[in-house]
Amino acid sequence: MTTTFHPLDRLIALRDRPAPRAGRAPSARRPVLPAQAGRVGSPKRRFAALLVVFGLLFAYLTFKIADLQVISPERYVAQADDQSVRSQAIAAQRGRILDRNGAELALSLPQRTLFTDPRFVTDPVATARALAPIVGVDEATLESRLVADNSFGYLSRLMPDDVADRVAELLADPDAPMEGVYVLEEPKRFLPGGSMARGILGTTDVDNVGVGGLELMFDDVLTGTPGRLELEQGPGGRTIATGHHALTPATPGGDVRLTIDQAIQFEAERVLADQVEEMDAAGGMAVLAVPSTGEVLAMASVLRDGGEGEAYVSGNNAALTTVYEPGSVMKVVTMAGVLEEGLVTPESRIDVPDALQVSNHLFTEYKPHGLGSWPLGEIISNSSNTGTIKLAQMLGEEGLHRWFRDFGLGERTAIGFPNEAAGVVLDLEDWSGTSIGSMPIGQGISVTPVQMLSVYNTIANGGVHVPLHLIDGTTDGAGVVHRRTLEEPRRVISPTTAAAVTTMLAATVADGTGVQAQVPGYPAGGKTGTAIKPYNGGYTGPDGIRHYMGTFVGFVPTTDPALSMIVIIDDPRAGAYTGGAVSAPVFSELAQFALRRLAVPAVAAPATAPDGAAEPVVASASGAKVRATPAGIEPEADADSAAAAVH
Amino acid sequence: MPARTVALAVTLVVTVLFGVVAFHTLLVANQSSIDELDREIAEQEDRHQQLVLREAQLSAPQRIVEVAERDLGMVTPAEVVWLEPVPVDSAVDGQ
Repeated sequence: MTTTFHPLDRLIALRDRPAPRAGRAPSARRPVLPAQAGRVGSPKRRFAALLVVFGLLFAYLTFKIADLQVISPERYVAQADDQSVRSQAIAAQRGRILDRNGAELALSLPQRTLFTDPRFVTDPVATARALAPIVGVDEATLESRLVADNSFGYLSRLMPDDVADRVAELLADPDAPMEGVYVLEEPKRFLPGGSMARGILGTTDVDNVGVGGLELMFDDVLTGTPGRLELEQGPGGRTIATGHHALTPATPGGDVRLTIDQAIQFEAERVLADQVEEMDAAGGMAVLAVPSTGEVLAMASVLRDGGEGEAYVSGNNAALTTVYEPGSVMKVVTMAGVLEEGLVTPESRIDVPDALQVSNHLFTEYKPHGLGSWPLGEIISNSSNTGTIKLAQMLGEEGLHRWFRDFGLGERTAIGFPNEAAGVVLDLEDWSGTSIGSMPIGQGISVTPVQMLSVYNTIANGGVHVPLHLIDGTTDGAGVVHRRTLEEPRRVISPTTAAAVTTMLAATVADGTGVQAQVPGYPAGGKTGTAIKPYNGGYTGPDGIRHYMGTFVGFVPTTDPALSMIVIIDDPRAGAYTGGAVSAPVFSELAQFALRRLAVPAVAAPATAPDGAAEPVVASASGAKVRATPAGIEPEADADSAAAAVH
Repeated sequence: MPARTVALAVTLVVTVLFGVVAFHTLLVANQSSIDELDREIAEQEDRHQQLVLREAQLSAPQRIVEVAERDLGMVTPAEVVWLEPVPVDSAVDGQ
């Protein structure tokens, strides 16, 4: 059956409905039952409430997102970085110390260090047992470090490569996992030449910081600036390509280039050590330099423990850090002073007695010769004490003191080496009555070997003091070379005075106390000195006898000095003890080596072949002359006369 | 919206997504390669420094003298003979 709906029915229905009461809208609500009286209202209200709740939640989420992303993202970024960003310090390479030719005397290399984070160590006993025989640390010590209440501890620092390789193999062994043990790289200082020049170079501590010598002096130059690398990594340790990546490169330390010549330095130490042992001495020092430039070529210092056994290179650069009473090598200061002040001329003669009373002390000659009138040159070449004292008395105390100071004694040199000594030149008011007798002959006054060499350099330079220096320059991390700023040279004595003193020094080597300093092929000049070592205010040692310091200082060739040198042998006990006997031979041997090394041409000696043609003459180290012939080398007939002609 | 347009849009989105994934894979692979090269550079730099030290040690006079004396049986000469030149004027006079 179908039902149809006619519009008329709708009209009838509306007409039949009761009319609403005035003032009251027809209600669509169903009647409220007593059980439903406490519930939230209609579905519309509940829907609205739900919307409000969701709206609030959305607002909170929006605020939270804004807080995370915009308002304060740093904390969460830091947390995320902590989990994924690996930050690694890049150690700055410590600079090198080079010799004058660029040879490395000291350089740093990364070495592996074994360390632990005890928080992650799971089996300290087994770990210590496995590592102990490899790293050479006992098990108990390792174990105590592995269980320490901290987050970092060294197990073995700066391991040698072979040890580090074995440790790496052990750590990589999957059968013996070692949690909490890691390896890092640290720079370690190496001296390729072994002990050579160690007194000059100095040392660094385990953290690669200079603690002595040039390592300390130039620590700010040699030390670089560490860098840092930050990488964002995934769980497998792989770098996240699009992640955080920041590199601050390390700036390597600068290099320091010395004026030292590696070969000359080594030879100086070798020859000196041999002589110290042969002379049964306690030690020795030698300094070689180029007078015209002030460049120090070598600075050697050797010792023997307790004055016995094998001589070894000292870690103390005694040529700069220790003072000694130099003895007769000081006489040139007095001689230069009296000549410069015009109190005497090179041709002057003075009466030289065997002994001379000064205040309460009687000064004597080394070898008595009777009273005689000596030319000035012989006072130097024969090292007369009384003659020198008489010249000093002409200068007077004030004049002598001024000349000591003018030659640079009593003050540190321009080298500026750590712990460099200034020497002791007493103020005038502290001089005793005998000072005018003792100081001119090098007793009662203390100098460093380098200061004494500097005096002779002044004479070699025609009277101009050129400051000695050890450093040629530095190169910073960017490769820019910085030349060392040097003090200006200053004139001390006139060229005429310097030439006169040079002639006297040449005579000392030619036929005076310094004949053993002769250098075949090169005219040399210098002065011997034999000083008594002071002990607690006196000149007698604890064993009741006197001990000596034998010195020779000079330069070669006298015609155009290319090399100057001071050699000191400390407390020789093998018989000979004078500077002429123990130190002069070292001067000769080292000069022969250094002059060839510096490519200084030999000074031509007059020699003519019997047939009138010039032939090359060959000189031996002993001074004997031989002549080169087409058949080879044969001894020359008149060796002595030829040697005299040369020297 | 026509079905064809929708299909085209979906294809485009999938292609772009695939491209992004492929690009990211390439990026990761290249980064891995870069990491490996960085490690190799560090190793070679270490090796270079080791060789610099070795070269310096081999060139040190102390080592050369040791080898000469110990391995080659050489000795320091007791006497060195040096050639000495003759002055030019002597030569001229002699002619």
